[in-house]
Amino acid sequence: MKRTNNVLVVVAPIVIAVLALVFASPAFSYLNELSAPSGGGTPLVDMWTAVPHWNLNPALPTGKMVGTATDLRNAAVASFNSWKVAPNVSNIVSGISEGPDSNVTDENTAHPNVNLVCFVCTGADFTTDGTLAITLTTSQIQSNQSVITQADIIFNPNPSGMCFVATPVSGSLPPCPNPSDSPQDLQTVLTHEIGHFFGLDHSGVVAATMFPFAPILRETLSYDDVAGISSTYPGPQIVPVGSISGTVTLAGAGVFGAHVFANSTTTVTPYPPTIRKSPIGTLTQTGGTYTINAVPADSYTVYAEPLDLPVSNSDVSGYATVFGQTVVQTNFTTRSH
Amino acid sequence: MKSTRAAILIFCLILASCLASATTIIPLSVEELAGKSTNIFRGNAAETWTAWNPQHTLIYTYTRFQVTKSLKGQAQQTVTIKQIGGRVANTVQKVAGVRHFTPGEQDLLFLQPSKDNDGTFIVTGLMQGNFLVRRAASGQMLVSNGVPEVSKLEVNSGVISGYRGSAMTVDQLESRIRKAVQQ
Repeated sequence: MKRTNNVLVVVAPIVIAVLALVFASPAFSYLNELSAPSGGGTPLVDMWTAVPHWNLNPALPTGKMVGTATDLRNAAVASFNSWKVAPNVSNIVSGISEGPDSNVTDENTAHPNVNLVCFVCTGADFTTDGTLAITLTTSQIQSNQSVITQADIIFNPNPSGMCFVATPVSGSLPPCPNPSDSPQDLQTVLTHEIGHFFGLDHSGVVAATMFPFAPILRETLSYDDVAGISSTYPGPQIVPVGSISGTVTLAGAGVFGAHVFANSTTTVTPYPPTIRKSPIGTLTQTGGTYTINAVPADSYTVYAEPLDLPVSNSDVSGYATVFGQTVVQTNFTTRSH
Repeated sequence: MKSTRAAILIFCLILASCLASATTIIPLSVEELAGKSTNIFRGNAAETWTAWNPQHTLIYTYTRFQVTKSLKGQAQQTVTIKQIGGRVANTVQKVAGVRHFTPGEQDLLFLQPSKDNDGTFIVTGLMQGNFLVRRAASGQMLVSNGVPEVSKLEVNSGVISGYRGSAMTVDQLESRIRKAVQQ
């Protein structure tokens, strides 16, 4: 990406004292899954409106798991807990609980009242090659909201060249049952999938749990993830937050789908140490406007960059569509203030 | 400010360099995609529609493609691709990262027959075998499936450049496919 003189990106405000911020507007973060309303208009945020539960099928995939059924359950509980204890979330997140176990092994026969977490299920019709897990969310479009009614997390029962590690790990992963397979921390994958379970889309922030390509081991949330979940399900403000708004323009016209992120310029850590400090990002909407919600008190530099890899339009596949666009705009260079 | 930015970028680079797997996908090379796919072609999306499965539990989006160039498998004029997720009336099902096709777009696709044996195909590697073809300002025809391969830090500008796959032309991709198929 070379800088060119004919590109003008305006980001405002630039550096802020967040205690003086305008408090969160109803605008949505780019982190959300969005649905188009039936009659057109502003896209709707997919979200639960009642406290959900999750149902584990505790069966272990043959030869593809390190750990026992107990380890599996513990890893699932720990993964959900990462989100439950996120600061500033409502009881829809903090109140999620484990429901009865499920014996469903085929996604085609999944029950609508079961939010399945399954490691042996078929029927999701993803090709086994290259896919570790998917989360399938079902939403009902209502007049002014898109209500998630079901979310199933389906792990690949036979991932090619990989296995999942459900046992607790500290820094490194044990080998797979098949030594030629590469181990992948189960909790890392599941924590990300739970973000989708709650209606979050992929993030362009590399350090985020919701970044679409995760490392082998990363079990904790980042500030970006907390911003996504707490702005979607806002609860009591244990940590004061605000929002940053502005417009990204190119030659006087708004830039659609620019990745805008606020990066702290200090070493302040307003969230508990279990939350990894990271930039907090969003995408611009039509007209180039953006609002980064749930930004904790700090000073920030705001960057605007094209979503041209490592995260690209393909990773936020529905974003352009719900805004009536084909793809996000990437014909500009990174700018910051 | 530059030092802060550089630190962030270096941090990002370190993270990017350990992308041994994905939240949901294991990045596959073009050669791996070619080996795992029964059919590879370049074509244009003609029409899409959605439907429930017989059990009324899953929504699928179907797209009929007009094939313009077949690179592997039995040559067919039209191919129907089935993807999980879609919208029927006011019910929406989604899988993050799955990009549904838009009529008129051109893609280069790596496919496998659907396990349902219904004559449809599914994209190899969920979305990895789905390369959107677009014309760059230079006139070159570029392809991208959004899956990173390699990243590098441009120290002078402090910018992480795109992954190698991002700059691939359709000719380069087709050349790699042909070599992989011949092996």
